[in-house]
Amino acid sequence: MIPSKPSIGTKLALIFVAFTFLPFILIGVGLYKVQEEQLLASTEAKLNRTADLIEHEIEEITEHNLQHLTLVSRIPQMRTVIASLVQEGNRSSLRVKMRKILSDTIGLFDHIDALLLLHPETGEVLASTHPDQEGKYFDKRPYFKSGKEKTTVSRIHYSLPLERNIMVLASPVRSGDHLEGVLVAWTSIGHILDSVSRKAEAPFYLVTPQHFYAGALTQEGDAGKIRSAVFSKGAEEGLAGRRGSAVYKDYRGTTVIGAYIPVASLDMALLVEEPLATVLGSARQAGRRSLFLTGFLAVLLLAGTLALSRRALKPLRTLRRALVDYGEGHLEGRIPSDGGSPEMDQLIGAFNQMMDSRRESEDRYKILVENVGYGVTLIDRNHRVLMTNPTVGSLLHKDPASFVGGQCFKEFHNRNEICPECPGIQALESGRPAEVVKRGGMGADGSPRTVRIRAFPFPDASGHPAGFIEVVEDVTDRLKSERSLAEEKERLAVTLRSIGDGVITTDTAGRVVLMNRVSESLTGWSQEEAAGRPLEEVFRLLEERSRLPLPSPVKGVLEMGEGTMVTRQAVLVGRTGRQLQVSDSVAPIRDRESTIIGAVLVFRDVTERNRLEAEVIKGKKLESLGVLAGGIAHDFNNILSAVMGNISLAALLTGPDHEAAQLLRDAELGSLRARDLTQQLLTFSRGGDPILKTASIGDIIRQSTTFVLRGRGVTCRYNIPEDLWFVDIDKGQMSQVIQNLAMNACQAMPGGGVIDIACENVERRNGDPPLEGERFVKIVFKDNGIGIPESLLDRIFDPYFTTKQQGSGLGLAITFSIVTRHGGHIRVESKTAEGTTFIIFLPAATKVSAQEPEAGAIHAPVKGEGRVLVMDDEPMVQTMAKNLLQHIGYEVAVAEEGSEAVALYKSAYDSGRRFDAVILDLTVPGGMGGREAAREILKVDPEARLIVSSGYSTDPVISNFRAHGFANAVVKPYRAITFSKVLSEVIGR
Amino acid sequence: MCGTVAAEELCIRLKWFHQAQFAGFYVAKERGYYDHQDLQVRFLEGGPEMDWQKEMKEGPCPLGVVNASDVVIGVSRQSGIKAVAAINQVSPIVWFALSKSGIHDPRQFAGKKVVLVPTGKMQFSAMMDRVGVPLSRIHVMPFSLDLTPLYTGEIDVWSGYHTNLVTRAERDGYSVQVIHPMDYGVEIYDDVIYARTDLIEKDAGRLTRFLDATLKGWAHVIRNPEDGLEDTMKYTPGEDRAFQAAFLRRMIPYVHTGEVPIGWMEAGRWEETCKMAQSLGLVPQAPSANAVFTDQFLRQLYPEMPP
Repeated sequence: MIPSKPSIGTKLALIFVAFTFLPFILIGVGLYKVQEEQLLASTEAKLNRTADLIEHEIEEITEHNLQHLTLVSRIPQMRTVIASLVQEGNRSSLRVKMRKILSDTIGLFDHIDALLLLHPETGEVLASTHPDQEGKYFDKRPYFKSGKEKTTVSRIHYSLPLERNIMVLASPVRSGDHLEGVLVAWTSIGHILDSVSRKAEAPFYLVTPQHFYAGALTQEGDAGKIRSAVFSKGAEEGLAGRRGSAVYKDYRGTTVIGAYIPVASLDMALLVEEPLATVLGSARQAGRRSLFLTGFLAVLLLAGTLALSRRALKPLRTLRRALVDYGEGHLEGRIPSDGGSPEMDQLIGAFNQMMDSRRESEDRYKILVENVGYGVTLIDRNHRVLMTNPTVGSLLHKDPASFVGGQCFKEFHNRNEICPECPGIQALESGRPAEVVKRGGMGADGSPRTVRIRAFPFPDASGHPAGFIEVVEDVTDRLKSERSLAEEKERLAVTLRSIGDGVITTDTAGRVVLMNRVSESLTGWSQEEAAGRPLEEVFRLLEERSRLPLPSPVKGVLEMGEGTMVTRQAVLVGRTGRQLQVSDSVAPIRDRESTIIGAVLVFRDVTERNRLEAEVIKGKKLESLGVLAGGIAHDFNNILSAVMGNISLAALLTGPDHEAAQLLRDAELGSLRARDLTQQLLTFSRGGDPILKTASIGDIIRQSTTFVLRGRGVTCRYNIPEDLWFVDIDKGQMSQVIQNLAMNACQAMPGGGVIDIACENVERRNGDPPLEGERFVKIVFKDNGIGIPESLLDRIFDPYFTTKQQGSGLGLAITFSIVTRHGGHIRVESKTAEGTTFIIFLPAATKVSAQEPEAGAIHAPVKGEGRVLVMDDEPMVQTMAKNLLQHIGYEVAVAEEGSEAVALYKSAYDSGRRFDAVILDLTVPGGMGGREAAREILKVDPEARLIVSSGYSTDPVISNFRAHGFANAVVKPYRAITFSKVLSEVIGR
Repeated sequence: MCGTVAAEELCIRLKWFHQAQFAGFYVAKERGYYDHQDLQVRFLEGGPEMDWQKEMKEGPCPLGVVNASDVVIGVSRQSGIKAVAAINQVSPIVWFALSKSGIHDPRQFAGKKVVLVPTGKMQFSAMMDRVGVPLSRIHVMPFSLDLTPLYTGEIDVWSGYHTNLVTRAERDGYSVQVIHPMDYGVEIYDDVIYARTDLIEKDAGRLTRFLDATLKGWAHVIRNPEDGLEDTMKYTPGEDRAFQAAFLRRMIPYVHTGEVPIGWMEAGRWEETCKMAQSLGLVPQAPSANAVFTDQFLRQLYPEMPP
């Protein structure tokens, strides 16, 4: 904050007062000093006077007393009496006489307390004005020794017996040369000092060379008291024999003005002292009074001067106010002529003229700034707002004048420090304009605004940056439209990129303008490379069958001049030669006036779609075949059951040594091969859903290939890692797959060879394999046989398609079917004369399930006993079963379908002769099947022991018979051994 | 003095228990006079049971405060000491009787019961000898601090320290007549500071500094008795302050009469004292003054004193 300076009037008044009072003050101080000097001088004079006087008095008294002591000692009467006293001893009459002499003469002295007459040798007090002293001995006292010689005065000292300060005068009493005695006078120094102090103008005291104090401090009233260690400048000087006066600290530490003088006869110093504070007290009080009066006068004079100067300076003040107003931007109004003085009139006239000129300029400038359409602010280098136009106010919804004087960051941005992105700073530092775009202010509706702030530095008179002009432009709407345009553009670009089809736009000349990523990928051309090239160069189409080049698809649309959409299928030849089946469509691009400005080509890769369509057709074909095969297999199974059962029975009846026994075994073997064929048919058909169990595919591969390849001149090389993932598979079906592939390889290598089988754990990458899930076991089955021609590759999985004379045409079809039903994928790669590779992907198991142990082999039918009910719709089977079971010991009843079986069982149960076991055929065309019959029987007898039989070994009821209430299951066609074993177990349970 | 140098230690055996009698020593210690001389002084109390001759020879302190007679005896017995300063210029031992008894002269002691303070035997003998009264005519009574027999008239005259017993009698409300031996030409020093001769000979500088500080302490007490009292009370916290004040007030004139500097001693008085000791039979032969005292330290401190 700039401190306010005093006005001219105040200055004038102060100068006036200063010049008026300075001499006063100086004179006052001078006078005070003079007065102090005078006081000190007068006090010194007084003290010196007192010192002289007291010294003189003491000396005079001492001299007087010494003279009188000498005189008294020479009184003849005294000498006579004293001689008698000394000689005659303690005679009271002489003592009285002497006392009288002493008492009579004591009046001659000044301030003598006692007179004593001492024995010249022993120092005994022979007589005294104070009789209590008589009889004492003062021979050890110094004055006795000196007094024997001459008249002397002792040093002032404290008498312990008398308990006061005394001075002792002593004089010899002689008769001729004979010493008769010593006359002693005691004087209390206090009395002397009290006496002289009446004439003293100031307190005084005596100091001995031992710095012993003997005071007559009349003001303190402690005359006779002792003090010691009286050290001071005065004492030192006086004891050194010098006289004078000075200001010094006395022995108590008080600053005094003191006079010192030696008292020669007493070997002492006399000090007369007065505390300086006391001496100067009155002078200082007078000084304070003068100072107060001077101050009071100064205030009065100042007030008066101020009032006068105020009146005299009135026109100047008016001018000053006008200038201040002008400084604050108030240009209106004129100063009226004062009329007081011509100089002021001239000054006012010139000012008014200047103001008129300034006002016009200001008006023009104001119009410009206020209507410029931008917020304009003048800011100094300290960021203080000097001026701002109404646009700024409207941006911030405040009075623009309210910003002036404040700091821009506070006023405009409500900050306590300079904005970090302040363009003003940049402008001041670089000397060049700077700008920033930021949020600031609010619209009329309260919405935030975006402004562009530009700062233009301006110099001061010396050319240095004095501040900057800040120009603020509301760019909210402009930015908004720019942003929406950009967003629209971005949206279109994103849309184009996101389209799964290839999109190419061309100009009216059929040249490429734009390509999206899909079109780049399919054609092999990038946008940059293709731009400007003819479309037919980038998008090369061939007719699908003839492989002849097709014309540019946009050509017709552009030539026809109207919108057309074309959809067709053709082969697109990419830049690298890759061929894809594509379908495309073309449409014209029109501007607002519907003028065609180009064409847009949309195309997609339909290769995969076409392949999938072929797959679907193939699948449907297989499905139809499956249904057919299933039906045939079912009937065939029943027939085979009868055949095999009867063969078994015939063999039992004839015995092993019969000549027909070998024939029966051959017939049974033929039947078994027929059963295998039936099983393959059933697997291929709908009923062949795999019964999945978690297992290691590696074991199955080894077992199955070993079995198939035995004695065929073909060897296997395995590459199966230990940590191969488990797979969920139907072991029987998967074994069939491996056997089929192994057999296929053998047939492809008639001269023998090597099959490489490798397994590995893989994860799906880039959509390969084309399956759901992430983890797969990959099996690669590779032979080095004759290979398969490429033209036949897509047909090898078709049923009954074979290139071999021995082949059934079902092997690879069933392989394909099994793998597919396992959720897997199989494909083949082959080159003629090099070999064929089958690749299988099977989903890895998510968990490992328990593996069932292998059942033990049975070599002969198991005999048993009990009542058995057999339900089968096939009479051949009924007969066979009845014969077989009776042969091995069972009592057998037969039913043709489920309801009959239920009735028979109920009847037997009710009669108390329930069946020990019931064998129910699962499928009965046109009647109650095994599953339903079981339910009904169990209603009658929950303890009933039921066995399900079916030609579909992979039927879910067979694989999960307990869930349907069965005690066991047998698969048709029955073998006597298996059948008897199952029955024996069920009944024996 | 350099503050980093360790202060030299000294100890002094006081004549009696702590009281105002030793105020100058206390002030010298408490007000930094010893510190200024770089001395660390320790005070050991004395008392009625002290064997001073043993203390002088074997005691823990090379310095002590004793009666003049003890100094003479010590020197006579070759205890290896010498007087180096006298705090009391005149012994404060006085005789006193109730004023109403009319006894004001030792000649009046004949046929009276007089209590004799043990340390005042020498003064008593000299004083009675001076006035010509044989001791055999006086009923000398054993000393006691209980003045009741004096107050009741059972005893005629008592003796003891002016500073102590006279003050006590006055505080008890009795007007007493004091008989000063000095009025009968008996002037001996008291509260004499002795020093072992090995200290005097081998460490004169330290002894000078000790005396300088001690005598300045006493000068301080005389100049400011209140300071002396205050410091005394630090050593006698349980004592009666008013009594100690009166004690001190009465002691000051004995220390400084204005005739000679504080602590001053003269050969003549020591000669007298030695003779007194011999005549009283305290010593078989009066030692010379020079054997008893030395003023070498006082003359260093008071160079202005005439030879």
